[in-house]
Amino acid sequence: MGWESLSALLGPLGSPFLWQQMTQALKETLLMVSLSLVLAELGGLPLGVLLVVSGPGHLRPNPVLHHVLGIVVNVGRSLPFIILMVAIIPFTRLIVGTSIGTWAAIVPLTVAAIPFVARLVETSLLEVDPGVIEAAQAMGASFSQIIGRVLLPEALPSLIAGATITAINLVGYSAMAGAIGGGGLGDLAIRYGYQRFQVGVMIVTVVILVLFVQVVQVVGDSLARRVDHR
Amino acid sequence: MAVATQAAGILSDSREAAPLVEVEHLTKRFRQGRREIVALDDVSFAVYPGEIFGVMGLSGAGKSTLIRCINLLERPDAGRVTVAGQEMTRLTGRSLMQARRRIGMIFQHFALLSSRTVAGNVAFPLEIAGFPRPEIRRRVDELLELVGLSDRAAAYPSQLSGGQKQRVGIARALAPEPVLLLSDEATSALDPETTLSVLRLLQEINRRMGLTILMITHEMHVIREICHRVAVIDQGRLVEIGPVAQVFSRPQSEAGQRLLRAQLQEDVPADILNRPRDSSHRLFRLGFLGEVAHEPVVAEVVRTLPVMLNVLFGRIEQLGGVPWGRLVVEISGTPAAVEEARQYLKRRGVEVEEIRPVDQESAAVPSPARVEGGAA
Ligand SMILES: Nc1ncnc2c1ncn2[C@@H]1O[C@H](COP(=O)(O)OP(=O)(O)OP(=O)(O)O)[C@@H](O)[C@H]1O
Ligand SMILES: [Mg+2]
Repeated sequence: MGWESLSALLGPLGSPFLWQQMTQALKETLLMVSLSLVLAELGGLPLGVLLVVSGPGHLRPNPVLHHVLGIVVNVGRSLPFIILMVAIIPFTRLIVGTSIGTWAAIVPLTVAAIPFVARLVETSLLEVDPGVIEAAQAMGASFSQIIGRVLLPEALPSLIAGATITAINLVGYSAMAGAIGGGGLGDLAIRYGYQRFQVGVMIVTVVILVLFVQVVQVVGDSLARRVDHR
Repeated sequence: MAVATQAAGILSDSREAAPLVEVEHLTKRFRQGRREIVALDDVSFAVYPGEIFGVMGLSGAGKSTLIRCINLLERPDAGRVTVAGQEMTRLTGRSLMQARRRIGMIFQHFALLSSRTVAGNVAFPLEIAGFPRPEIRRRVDELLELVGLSDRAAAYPSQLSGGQKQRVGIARALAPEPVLLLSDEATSALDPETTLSVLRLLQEINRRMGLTILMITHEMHVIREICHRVAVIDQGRLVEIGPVAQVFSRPQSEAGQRLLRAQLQEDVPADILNRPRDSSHRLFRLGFLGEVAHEPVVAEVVRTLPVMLNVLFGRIEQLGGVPWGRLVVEISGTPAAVEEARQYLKRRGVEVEEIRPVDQESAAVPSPARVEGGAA
């Protein structure tokens, strides 16, 4: 590679304007991922609990509810994110007032993550030893006591691991959301690197994204380990 | 009969009280695909206050189903269960929850909460029953002291041995001061030595607090070790019930005899049971229960009859508080003399059972799942 092409590659990185944009994009990604993670957990956790307790032989078997929830979750999970994002634009407008920008991106991100979280929560809760649930029943624990004091605490390490996976997936989805004006690192990489052929910008952005995911994973793992006494 | 009166004596005081647990005509069926399994078939019995009552039976006999019907983890299809005057089978929802808090339970695989420390596990039933914090702390300290785990209060279950885990399970079960303790194969996952120490703990709790214990097990030696009375269930039916000494020394039911023979095979080395024999060399299992255990019956046989008596195996243990001697002997002589010796022993009140070759016998007896070390 010649000297000129290298300087052409790295040239734009010297621009303070670009770095300002990058900081801004990082903040946007952080906001999108963290807020939609929290909202998706708020929605997906109860859904996952409902899926589990309505299952055969569990606390409140209810084949109809179990089945319907399962279908809803599967439909939600099988829709490609781009399509979902476009399809729910009216809903996004209704909630945020606009369908463009970081705040607007949070709506489809949350909607897409809820069924994903629900399945992960279901898997985590099913791992809890049925013998322990039965012991709690034998001790006279109520339905809500079993959920709050047995199921969720016993599954906590696994729930945290699931949230970590969700957060990382959201980083990926948020890059796509960037494409329709959601902002964030992915958006930056596409606008500068792909559309304006500034490969250097794209590489730096991707490196930041990789580091971001790495940090999420490390933090998630260490949290999960700290609460794991199994 | 000396045996019967002694055995009944152990229970004479508790028998006068009203039963603590009454099981009447209990029936439970399971549907498995097309097939219907009758797990419990018209089972009735009573457990008296202060008793350690054992239920034994082979795998699949319905033991777990039975104990789970007592605290209604399983709802019976028919019949009635009454615990401490309260008809469990009538309860639902909140009243059932309240009733369950008076019945402790321990499990084969301990069923401890892995997310809680030892102290947290013992506190659990008190928390859900809404005890005030200071009282919880006091009770937890007391109980950990009782089961000898005060120094492990802050440990997590994964850091404990099996025996320690079961002690936590016992402390947890005792926390709300139950009127009854249910035990579903509580020692089956433990090695023989640990089993014995857990059984001793249960026995001590029974003696010190007068706590009634209903335990199920497929291990005969567990029953022999601490139970006062025992019931045998077979294919969902209660086929035998009585003081341990009586059921173990002369089981009336087919299932009881089978269990006992399986136990014998565990106790007596196989090469002894496999010795060649014919009409002038016969192998017998002799049981001496109570009074006979102190009499020189065997010596009398040899002195008065023209036979040789070779003792191949011997053991004396306590059976529900009654001494129980067991011998495996080979009697040799003319066929007539050997037969006469057998008759003589029988007349003297000795339990006599001829031992047929193992390969013949094992065809009829399912071999024990696991060979346990003798506990005597
Ligand atoms: N939930 C269930 N669904 C269907 N069948 C069941 C269920 N629970 C028990 N059974 C059946 O009922 C019968 C009695 O089972 P149970 O567990 O009470 O036996 P057990 O005496 O405790 O045996 P083990 O010593 O192996 O524990 C068995 O045939 C078993 O397959
Ligand atoms: Mg069982």
